[in-house]
Amino acid sequence: MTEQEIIEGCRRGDAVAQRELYVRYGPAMFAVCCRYVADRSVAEDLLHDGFITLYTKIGDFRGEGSFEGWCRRIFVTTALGYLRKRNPLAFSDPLEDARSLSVEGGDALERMSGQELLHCIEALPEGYRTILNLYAVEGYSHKEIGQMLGVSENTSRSQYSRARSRLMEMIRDRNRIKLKDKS
Amino acid sequence: MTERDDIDRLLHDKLSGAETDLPQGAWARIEQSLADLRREGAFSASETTPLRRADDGQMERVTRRRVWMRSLSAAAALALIVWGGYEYMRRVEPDTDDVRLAERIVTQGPEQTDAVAENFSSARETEPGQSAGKSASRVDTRTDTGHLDTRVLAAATPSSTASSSAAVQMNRVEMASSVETPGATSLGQPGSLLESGAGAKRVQSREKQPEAASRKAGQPLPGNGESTPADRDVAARSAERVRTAEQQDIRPQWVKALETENHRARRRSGVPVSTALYAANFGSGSQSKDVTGVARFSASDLIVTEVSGGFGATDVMLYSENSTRKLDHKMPVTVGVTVSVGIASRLSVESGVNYTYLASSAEADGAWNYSVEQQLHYVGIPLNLRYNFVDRGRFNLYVSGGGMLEKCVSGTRTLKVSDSDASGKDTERLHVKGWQPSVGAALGGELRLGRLFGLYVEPGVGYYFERSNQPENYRTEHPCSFSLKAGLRVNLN
Repeated sequence: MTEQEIIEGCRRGDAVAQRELYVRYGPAMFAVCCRYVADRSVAEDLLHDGFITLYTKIGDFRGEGSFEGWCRRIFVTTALGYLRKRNPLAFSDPLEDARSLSVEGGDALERMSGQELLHCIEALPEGYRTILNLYAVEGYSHKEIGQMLGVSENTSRSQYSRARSRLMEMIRDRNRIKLKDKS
Repeated sequence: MTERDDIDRLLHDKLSGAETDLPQGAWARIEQSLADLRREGAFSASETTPLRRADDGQMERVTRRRVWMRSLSAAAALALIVWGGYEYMRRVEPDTDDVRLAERIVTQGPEQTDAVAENFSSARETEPGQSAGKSASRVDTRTDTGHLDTRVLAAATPSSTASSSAAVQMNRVEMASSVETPGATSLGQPGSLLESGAGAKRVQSREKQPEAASRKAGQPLPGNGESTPADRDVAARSAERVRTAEQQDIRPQWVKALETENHRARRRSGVPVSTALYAANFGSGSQSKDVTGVARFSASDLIVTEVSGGFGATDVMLYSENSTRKLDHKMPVTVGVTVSVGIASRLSVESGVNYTYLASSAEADGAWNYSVEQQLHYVGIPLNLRYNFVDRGRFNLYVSGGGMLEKCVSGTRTLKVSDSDASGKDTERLHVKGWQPSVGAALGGELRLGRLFGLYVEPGVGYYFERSNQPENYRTEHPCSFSLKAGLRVNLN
């Protein structure tokens, strides 16, 4: 079944097409959910809600741009809706010079698999994780993130630096543990 | 950190394509929810018709309704213009006759003027129930004398009763007085004509005079301008009648003063010009609605996504489940200045410039409180046709209709997000392209305060045509809306 056939089938409410859509895009969408929330059961809820939204809104897809990108945005929106309710972002820290934060560990990051990286991200505080996902993975600018989360552009920039620094720290630690285990 | 560096790129590459094994039982849950949705009818139409088609049907209904509204507005504006034109033509034609008649009266000399008075008295002598035919025959008899061609008068009132015919004649004579040249003297003076309509009693008594009787018998009258004793006698009597009429004019002084001023103004310039300062919808008020779906607000976005579908790529979506959402468009407030130029006795063209302030707000209350506030500033150029259908000296009633083009010259939108611990604000300047066209009609009443000023009130209705390049506001939400305008009009001549 081609992508177009899946879309047309889902528009008609065809159960086979709906199942095919889930099988084809489900793993990537679940990864999106897991990137935003650490709790696996919550990620499953987001997966469910995201797919229901997807099936009911698929008539709005105009065929402009990537269908997978459109699906991804639905799941990001769903995840952010959940996070807003939890209010994970209490950005009240004063601005810190981003350059003073360590970003060493690029080699370790390069050697790391996507799955391992996901585990590290899951361990980040929700606020850091959200901004890191929005900036580094989804590709939003700090201005856009500021508007989405109701914080200033500078706050988003500062929080991203901290999140990245914390992540790299975790990657370095993980790498040290690995090396110790090997030795 | 202004640019994405290697770490950012590595993070993106490793995470964007990542996949996670689907949890057991997740599809069963989704399938169950889909079955529930089907039972609720979410996919009922989609068995045979795509979802998109169902949306299209709704859009089609909305479009059809908008086309109807536009057609009705256009038809109303057209009807107003046609009716105004008809009324204008209907009233202008008799005036033309009056002017011709007046010219004849003035140029033919005192006897003919006197004859008009006699004609009037004859008509008044006719019994109320008498037909116009009788009156017409009497007029014809007088025509035979060669003194006055009153067929103009008779033809103008072919079916009226004699008394009403006389009344019309009286009015015309009065109107003739207003177009007479200021230098006219003797029996051609307005006063003598006024008197001819002032009362039949005096005319009747004059008819008993032997001179009048002799003229009735068809005696020749001097037409070479030489003053004869009979002429002088007639002049003396007319002068006396003028004085009597003036003494008996019991109208209030201010009415006479106004009438005089009006006559002067008309003589000074044939084109009445006035200007007006006004405010519309100056009271506070708003139209709001609770949105059951996703609250939307155009331009800068909270979450830029195609999820909102159909709202455009740069739409705001205040997306928060289990939250209450509200859109509130305040009523527009307009101030402006217009200048109107008379193109006929009761008809004028009006244009000018106005400023309109449109404010809107959207709110979504959930775990976080979101609000968007929008302010738009429009400058417009109206072009209206105004027709006075009641002119009672101090009080005028008129209808006006026309169109307006408006341009958004400035606009801002502020997004605020807050909760108990944190808050943020971002203000965006809007650059709106294109024009907002509209048509409208209004019924107005004006109270004149002296010669120069007048206060007016204009309730009206307007239709704002849909333009996709205009930001959402009160007018896009309510294309057909009522307005109340009030202002000060200055008559410049």
